[in-house]
Amino acid sequence: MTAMDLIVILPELILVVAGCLALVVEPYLKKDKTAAVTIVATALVASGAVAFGLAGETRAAFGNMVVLNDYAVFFKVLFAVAGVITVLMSPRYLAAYDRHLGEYYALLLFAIVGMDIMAAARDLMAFYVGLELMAVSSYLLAGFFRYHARSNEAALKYFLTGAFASAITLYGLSLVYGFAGATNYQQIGQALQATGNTTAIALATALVVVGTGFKVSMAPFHMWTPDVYQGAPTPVAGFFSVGPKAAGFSAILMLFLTVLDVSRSTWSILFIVLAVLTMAVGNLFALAQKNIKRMLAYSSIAHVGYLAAGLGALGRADDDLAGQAILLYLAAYTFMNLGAFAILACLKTQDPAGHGYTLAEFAGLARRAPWAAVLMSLFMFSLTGIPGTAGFIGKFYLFNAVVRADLAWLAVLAVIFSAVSAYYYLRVIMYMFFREPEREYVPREAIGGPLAAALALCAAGVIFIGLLPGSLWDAAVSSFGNFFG
Amino acid sequence: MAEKILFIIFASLAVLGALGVITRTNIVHGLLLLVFTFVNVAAVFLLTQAYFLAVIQVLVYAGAILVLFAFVVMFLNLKEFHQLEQLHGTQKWAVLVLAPILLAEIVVVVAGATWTSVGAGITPDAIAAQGGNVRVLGITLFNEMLLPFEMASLILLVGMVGAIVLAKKEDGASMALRDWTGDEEAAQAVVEQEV
Repeated sequence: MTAMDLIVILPELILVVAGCLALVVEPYLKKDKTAAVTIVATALVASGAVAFGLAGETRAAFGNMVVLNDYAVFFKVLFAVAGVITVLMSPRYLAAYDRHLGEYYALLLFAIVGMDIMAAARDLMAFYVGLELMAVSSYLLAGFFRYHARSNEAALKYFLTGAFASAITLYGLSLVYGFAGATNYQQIGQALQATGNTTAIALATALVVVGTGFKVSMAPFHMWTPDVYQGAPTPVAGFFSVGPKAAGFSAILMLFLTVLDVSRSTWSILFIVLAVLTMAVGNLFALAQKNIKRMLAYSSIAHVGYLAAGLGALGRADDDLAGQAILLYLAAYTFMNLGAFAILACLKTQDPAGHGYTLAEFAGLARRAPWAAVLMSLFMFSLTGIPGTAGFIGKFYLFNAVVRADLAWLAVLAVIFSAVSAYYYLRVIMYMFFREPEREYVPREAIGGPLAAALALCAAGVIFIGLLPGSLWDAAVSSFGNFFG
Repeated sequence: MAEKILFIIFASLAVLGALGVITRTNIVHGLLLLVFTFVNVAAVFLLTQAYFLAVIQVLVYAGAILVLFAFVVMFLNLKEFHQLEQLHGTQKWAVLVLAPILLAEIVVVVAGATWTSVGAGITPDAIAAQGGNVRVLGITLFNEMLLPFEMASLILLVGMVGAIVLAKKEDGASMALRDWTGDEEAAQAVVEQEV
């Protein structure tokens, strides 16, 4: 190991040090946890900034175990942004539940370290420990409200399904290791090119697709998602819907394009089938939800379906268009989905005992809390994919890439399902603006401070990407396809 | 010669200890005999110059795993275990069939692994030329595998933090689920509460 190796993992080192600092200062803080929040938020900003500053060059470290190239930088910055927004969402919400502990922020940082390593890994060993670091931290975050039965349920379900998913992924990867005799992505790729796409490699591919599909909640492996999102603390649920999902996709893209490139035909078919299923399940089940938090969980499944269609297109096409569109979509999705969850966190913070996330409670919100209603509408429009918002740009590039890969029918299906999704997204807006509330609501004090900052960040991201997607698209283009060079 | 005598002493003590573990009805005696067996096996490893395995044997088996067993014994408040009464009759016959199969499997796997590694040029001489098992393992662990190794330590840290977060005793823990037991309606309210 040299100093050069440490520069490559500098963004993660910053987060690890800050996480440990948060743990150390926690016992000295009384009710006011501002110090811990400041440390963590600063570290996330610094980590993202350092990663951004190191862009443009490819640096390998630890014997080619991790690299820092534009692809890793793209995801590290994305994770840092998602982390900052989650951290800003959390303080008031946790304080309302009397569970405002420094450990929460430390676990969040450690999860992001795992995600960073997943995106930067070029070796199965590094990938797997990154995955587990993210997963173990996530299970704990899901169960952070230990006095609430739903939170306990969420943690247990997440842990059990997550452990199964890890085991299945690992079994597939062990088969790959058996055939290739190497753990380095590049070496495996070369070794497998020599053997060709045998039945055994197709089996290993299928196992890895199933395992990683579990992690990003593709149907039919999505069962855990609604329960976990409903039971996890709201900021954590928002984080789960964007962070680990984006990390999962970063690893899926890397694994299938470099390690399992030889079985391209197998995995592209698998992803197309999963995409159709996932879009159908996510959108149709979301229609029936009366609980907005569960509805957002199913909507996140639907969005994974669109992304899976992109993966299928990537396997079919000769160019990288679909991969670049997936990166863009993940970035757009981060802002709009975290924003929607931030609104939920805001409403819940105002009324921890009474608010139940039901659709009925959104009736007349526009008069009680105009800002919350306006911002929620923006995020719902964006999730639907209305032009002028980030969601439209994401879908436009993604579906375009799917059409270019000669999968026009799949793109048509995706557009039809997007139209279906308009029903349950716009229904929320309709309730907020045009429905009379069923009962009297006590006027609540507006939530300011960090939560307002989180909402502002999300809204700014949604509008900026929606109106000026050029710079983000350039970043996605330069990030994708340059895995080893 | 001295090594042979020591080997016979430690190996027979290990076998006697293992026999004791499965014949004692007092669980605590069985547990102590298990430590005894582990330490003797570690001594056998030392005699065969497998120093690393000996250390791991003591640290992991005689240390960590035994503490786990002791916890289980304390949790369940076990004192006596009457094997014959608690075993179903048919299980005894299954043991007669399955135990030889297990033994055969172990022999095949160990012999097979030895065969293939010798075939691949990994002989005791080759390992000695590299400086011994501990050295080779250490170099791999702290050079090639340094990053995953350190990441694994981070996972353990997360595990410890999580254990504290989930299990620490708190003041004013009136929201604890256990306090609702007995009052069904209140318990149901907690279960249904959204977070």
